[in-house]
Amino acid sequence: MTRWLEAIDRHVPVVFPLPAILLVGSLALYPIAYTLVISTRNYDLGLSNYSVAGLANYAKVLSSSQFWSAFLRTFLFTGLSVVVSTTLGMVMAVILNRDFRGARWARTAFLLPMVATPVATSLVWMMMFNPTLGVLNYLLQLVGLPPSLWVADPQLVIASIVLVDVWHSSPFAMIVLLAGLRSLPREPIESAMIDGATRLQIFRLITLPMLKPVLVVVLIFRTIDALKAFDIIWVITAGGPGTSSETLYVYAYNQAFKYLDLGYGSAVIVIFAAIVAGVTAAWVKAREREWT
Amino acid sequence: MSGRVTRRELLAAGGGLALAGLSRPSLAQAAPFDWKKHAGTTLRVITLKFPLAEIQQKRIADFQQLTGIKVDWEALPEDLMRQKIKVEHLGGATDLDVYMSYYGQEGQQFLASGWYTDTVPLIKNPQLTNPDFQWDDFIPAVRDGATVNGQVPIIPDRAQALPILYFRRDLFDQFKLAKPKTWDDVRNAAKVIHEGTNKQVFGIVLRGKGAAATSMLGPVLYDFGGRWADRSSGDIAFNTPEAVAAFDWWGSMLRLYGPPGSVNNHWAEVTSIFSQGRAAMVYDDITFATLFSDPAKSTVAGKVGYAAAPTGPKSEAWRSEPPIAPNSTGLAISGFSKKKEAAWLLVQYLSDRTSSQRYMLQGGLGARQSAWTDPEVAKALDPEFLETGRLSTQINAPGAAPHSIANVSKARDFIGEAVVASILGQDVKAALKTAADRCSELLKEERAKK
Repeated sequence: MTRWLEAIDRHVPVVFPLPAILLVGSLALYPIAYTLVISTRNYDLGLSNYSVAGLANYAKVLSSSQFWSAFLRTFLFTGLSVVVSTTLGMVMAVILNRDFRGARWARTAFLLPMVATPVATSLVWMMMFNPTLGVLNYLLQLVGLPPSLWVADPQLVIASIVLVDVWHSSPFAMIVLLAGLRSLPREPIESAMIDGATRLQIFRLITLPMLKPVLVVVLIFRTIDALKAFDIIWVITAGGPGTSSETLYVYAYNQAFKYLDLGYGSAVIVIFAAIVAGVTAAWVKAREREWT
Repeated sequence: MSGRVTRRELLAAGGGLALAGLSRPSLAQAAPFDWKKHAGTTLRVITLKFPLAEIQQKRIADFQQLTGIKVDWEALPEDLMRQKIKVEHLGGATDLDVYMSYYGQEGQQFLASGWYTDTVPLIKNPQLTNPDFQWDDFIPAVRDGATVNGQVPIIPDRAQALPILYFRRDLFDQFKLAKPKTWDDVRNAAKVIHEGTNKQVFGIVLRGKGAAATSMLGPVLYDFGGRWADRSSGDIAFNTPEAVAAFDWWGSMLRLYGPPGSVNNHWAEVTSIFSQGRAAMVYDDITFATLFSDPAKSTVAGKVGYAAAPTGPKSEAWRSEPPIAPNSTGLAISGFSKKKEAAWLLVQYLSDRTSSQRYMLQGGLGARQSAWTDPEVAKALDPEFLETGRLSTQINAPGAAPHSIANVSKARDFIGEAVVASILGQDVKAALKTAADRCSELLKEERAKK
């Protein structure tokens, strides 16, 4: 018994984290490894066959025009969503940074979309988008604008879903940027005011540069978040009309779980994971550059 | 092809039955049917929890009294039921005698594994089948759908039907329009009402959400002279001018007279637009009649007329054809059961006229012709609905995608893109060609892997 205890004592750095390592290993690493294995197999439940495919699935993915269309769509969606939500978050943060009457209330109200369940709010958005029965067209007509097809229009569907994603995620950008603004030193701003700088000049030349590290964090989180958006797209359009809003995640989901081609679907996911990792690494690099 | 031969075989079997009766005149015909033959046996049944099964369950007590057979009845939710039946058969269990099965879903697999008992020899044998059972009473299309290479593995409990056209009687009266008989009539009525109401009421509402539309569009495709696939070779065949005409009809109806944003409409949206009184017509599944006629859920209750699927230039050619692939739902006797004769007593009892009639009274589609002409049913249901249903159950629907493709949902997505293209007014011919090419490639892949 004592020998056991001594052994544990000697190997504390291994023994204590062991439960956590096992947990992470079984819940995270095993599925990742399994996905990697499956992506090199012919594994089509619809045909109930299973054999080694090597890199054939990857070759098939990379030569598929549907994959590349989904790829471009994913980046269009991500680009729009990140830029708009971060800009909007910045505007809200600047406004709420000034202490006016009711500022606390406003801060809480702006946070509400962030805490709402995406699937539930997406269902509501879907109903609001309905060109015949939805409330958005009713509002447009109230102010004298022509009705829109929203998510039923292949040209507008990405923009419409970006609208939902922005509604959802701007509060996140706002709260992080607001915290950043609050932690900025007051002195440079005060001295600039004394020197007669305008508000816009102060913001552009002093606040923004000082806020850059925080801004990069927001951009990293928002990019990852938008790249992996699935729930709102799946609920509102399921990738439609046709394939007009089929992003990479929706594409992969269809391949694996709708068509039951698990080998091909896994290959799509692995490629996608590599893309997300690449983009994230690029952002992190950019951030490091800010700090040095 | 096989269906046609089969029908003859069955007729021949009927003839044989008559001959058998002649050669042994006194015994079989004079003596009443012996229900007590297997008294004392116990049968085990697994079925689905759904209205018809409840009707059947209520009759078990009578069956036990009639036959002296004890019945162990288990009604389960769908997924659980499927799983249990599969697991028991895979384990080779012999104590499961009767179960409910969907041929379209699992039939090929089950048949190849020997999990069904062919009921044709049982039906043919007057010693085992009571004279009131009458296989001929089942709707011919239902019989065809239940017959697989001359065998009948499942005794069907319900009829399959073509989609029907629901229309607003009040609006049709207002604009002095007759009940539509052809797809041209439908187009005309949609135009008249849409324009006559200053576009306040949509002429028609149809499914437009890609894959979801193909099951409804299938019959229209065939009415225009198109085909999903060649009947015998299974090769993809919808890349034709006739198919373009059918897809174009569907898309242009929605574009010109339908609700905006039709490309996102599944049956839920379609039925709610119609039941809120926003559209003059809807062409969809027959089961929605109960929804539209319910005043609690529908503002158009009492104003809805029913018409059997309108026809196109080539309807005659396919509507009398046997089913492309077998399709039936109902009770089956396990191939592993050791009490097949007793099990058959139960199956024939539960598949009789009474079950079928009670199912119809609840709004279901009975599998037997007698249920459709039953006086009680006629009194309870809208005569126009009954007539429409009767016509619709006589036709074997062509399905939602080429029958030769196993990955149905993938094929439906490919075809669905052409539906969307047509609604958006894009090049239908090119979209159909793309869809056909993709389906052909999928078929080739599947054939290579088999």
